[in-house]
Amino acid sequence: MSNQEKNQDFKASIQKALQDQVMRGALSRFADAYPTARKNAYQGVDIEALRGEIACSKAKNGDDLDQLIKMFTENATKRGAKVYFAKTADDANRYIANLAVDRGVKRIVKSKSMASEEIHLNDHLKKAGMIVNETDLGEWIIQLAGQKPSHMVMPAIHLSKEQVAGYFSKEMKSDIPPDIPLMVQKARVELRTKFIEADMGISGANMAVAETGSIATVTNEGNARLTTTLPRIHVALVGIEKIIRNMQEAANIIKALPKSATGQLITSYVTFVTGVTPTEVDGQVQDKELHIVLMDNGRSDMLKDPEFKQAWQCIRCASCLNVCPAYQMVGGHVYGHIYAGGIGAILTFFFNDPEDAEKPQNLCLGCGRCTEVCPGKIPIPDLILKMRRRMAEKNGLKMIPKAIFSVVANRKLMHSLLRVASIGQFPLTGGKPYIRHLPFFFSELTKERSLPAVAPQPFRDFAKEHEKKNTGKKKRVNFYGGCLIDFCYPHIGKAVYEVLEHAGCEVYFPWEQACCGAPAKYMGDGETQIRLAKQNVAAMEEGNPDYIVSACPTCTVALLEDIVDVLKEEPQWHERAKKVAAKVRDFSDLVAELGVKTGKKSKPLARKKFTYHDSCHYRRHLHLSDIPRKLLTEVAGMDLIEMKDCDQCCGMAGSYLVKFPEISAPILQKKLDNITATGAEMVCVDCPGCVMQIAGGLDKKRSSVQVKHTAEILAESLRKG
Amino acid sequence: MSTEKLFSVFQAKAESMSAQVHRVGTYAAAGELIAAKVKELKAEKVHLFPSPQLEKTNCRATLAGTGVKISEKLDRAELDVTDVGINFVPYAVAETGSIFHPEENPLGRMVTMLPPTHIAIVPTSKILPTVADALVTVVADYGKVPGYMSFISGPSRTADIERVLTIGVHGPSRLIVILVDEGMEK
Repeated sequence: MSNQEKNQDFKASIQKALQDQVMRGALSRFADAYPTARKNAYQGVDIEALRGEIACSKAKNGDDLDQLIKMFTENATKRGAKVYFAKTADDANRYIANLAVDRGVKRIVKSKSMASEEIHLNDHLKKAGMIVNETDLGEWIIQLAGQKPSHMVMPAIHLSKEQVAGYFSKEMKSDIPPDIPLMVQKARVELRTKFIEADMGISGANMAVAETGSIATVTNEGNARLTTTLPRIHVALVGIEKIIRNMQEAANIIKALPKSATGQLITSYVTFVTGVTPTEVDGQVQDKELHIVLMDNGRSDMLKDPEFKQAWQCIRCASCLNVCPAYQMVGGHVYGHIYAGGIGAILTFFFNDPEDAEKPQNLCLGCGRCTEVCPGKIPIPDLILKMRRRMAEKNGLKMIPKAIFSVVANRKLMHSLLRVASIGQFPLTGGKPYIRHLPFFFSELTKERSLPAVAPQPFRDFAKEHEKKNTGKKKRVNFYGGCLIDFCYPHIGKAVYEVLEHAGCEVYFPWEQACCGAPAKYMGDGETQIRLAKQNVAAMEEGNPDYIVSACPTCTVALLEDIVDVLKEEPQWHERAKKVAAKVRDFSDLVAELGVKTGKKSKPLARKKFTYHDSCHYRRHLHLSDIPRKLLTEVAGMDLIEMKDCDQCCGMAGSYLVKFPEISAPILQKKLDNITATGAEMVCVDCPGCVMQIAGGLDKKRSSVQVKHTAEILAESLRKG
Repeated sequence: MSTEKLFSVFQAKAESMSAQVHRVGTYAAAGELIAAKVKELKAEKVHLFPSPQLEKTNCRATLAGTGVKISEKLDRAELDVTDVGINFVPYAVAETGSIFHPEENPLGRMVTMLPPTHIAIVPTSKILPTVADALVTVVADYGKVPGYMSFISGPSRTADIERVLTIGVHGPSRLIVILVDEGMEK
């Protein structure tokens, strides 16, 4: 398939998912209930300490993998298990199919195993003449439907009860009504016979404990217990990342997994199988055969890769999917292979085929909500970016981004183009500060939101004029404007100046500053990022400032972290970058530290009701969410009404709205609904990107709710009446 | 943590997961309660996994009084159609409201898995604070990790169709835990 065809296929699968109201409804109900359920389940648990312990021990297990595999194999063998190491999917499939043929197996029952989905084990067993039945209800439904799971923990979440009733009616050759308890009962009866008659049970494992040779399953339905108890042969297919050292580590995973996965205190069953145990065959007690297949299939490559080894810390709870704004919109199937979500793209890259990960990895907004909840503390969005960079290095950037970035990286060209755009766009805005309609291929962008017009005078022109009155005797701030403030929202820049001057600073605008490099980073264009980093380091050193301030969290993160990171190969630049980074401050954070006072009896905005939107980079990289809330309530005297999911991405996410306007739009819609539901007259944010997205959405709805950057509110409150 | 505290945490957590929790003073009282429960359920067949603790409840006699058919035969077909499975479970865990059941004997396991109701007799003195404690205690008591062991928390459940919680899929739809104080240190 050509790349263009693949792209069309991918876009078509997204469209299909977005139109699937059953799935959208189920995902949205679950996403709404999940945060509270998770919080309640973790009540009384020091969750941060627990996450720390799990991340640390899983990482250590990765380092000690060879030793742990040996230890597990020895201990399980001592207890009578046969342990087979499968390097590849083929090895695992062949071993299990051969075993079944050799032992004269006819009927196989399976409990849930993502590893078996990963290697299409059922197909291989069927080819070998076996009758295979999935017994986890969700997996069985998926099997009857001939589909793939759309969620690691809840495989059939995308199907309605009516659809399930249809599959059941066909399978049981009778008319089954869409009554959930009745259907569950039917499934019990239907599958019970299969359990009783099966010669082989195949399970997965959530853990394999090296010190004892035990495998453990964490389940709710009871099918895994029957699968591992009734048939005379038990085969456990275990990915080698499931190997942990001891029972203390097992206790930690038991503590985290059900709470993170489904918000349950614990699942109905947590079962440990250690070696061979007896079962009943024709009324007689007989020892079972236990085979444990330890499967690599790309896992050790992932572990050995220094950029991706953190993905080893995954315990497959899927909490990252449960909080992912993009997953909530499109579900699991668009991710292509077996594993869904951001983590899924990474696993697919290593376990299956890097090409299969190429399209789905783009679905990541980079909002970082997943990293906040991950029990293994995996920085999933960072890993996605590394993957993206690797793909771009291998395949080259696609034609269009390459052209865009060569312009972005050329400050003069970029800026003169934007100036031209400010004149050229007037027919589009109709004199208003928003572009409501764009011609042809841009039209998708303005369907759900208006875009801001490019300002007639960029902020940098105002700044140069303004700084002529600086005395050089006060604290010097070098202001980093960023594209949006410079060219679309100069008034935010002006507000930043007013407030910082009020706080006793003089502000300068280093002329040679260029794009912060974030867009290039998100596209995987490392080369452009390095070029921009050098240009900005040189620019921001100007006049040896006390502070370097930005009012855009994406730019702040780029100046704080990325410039240092991308220049680490060049020692002289690296040193300069570190010195610059050390002075970088977020606007609100610095204002709170320096302190500002209104000095007026009546505050102009006092008692106005506002709600606050946490921008992704602001909350999860800079960890500053509390500071603007404090400034807005204490300095401006406004009243805060918190919205639902205040920390959920607005759908802007850098270039996301260009890549996936069809997903960005419903994410924005949710944000707008949550804002409106508060009844506040104003929503405050600390990111001009979010201002653009949210203001655009509200404008399109002709809403009266205003969007303000914290700087604007502070400036208004401090202004002399 | 005191036994009373452990009990109250266990009870709250277990009930929150839809387990029935009862507490009696003696094994004999447990035997009476088993019979009462079986009668209440209108069960026709019960399956026992014999153990010294179960004998102490004298439940064979109390159950005989209800007219129910009692079996202790290792036969999966028979276990598949029985109404109630009854056994002794040596531990419980307060933090998760679980009973903790190490068992290698196939009949001992099947009575907890196949019938729609599972009645477990558990000593009140063996409610352990945490899952981690249970995993340490069992190895100390048995001298090794038992071949098969399960934390059982409430009845079997699923939410695989439209996220609607439904009780009783492949395992029991009813879990009755009878805690017995007898043998507890004062």
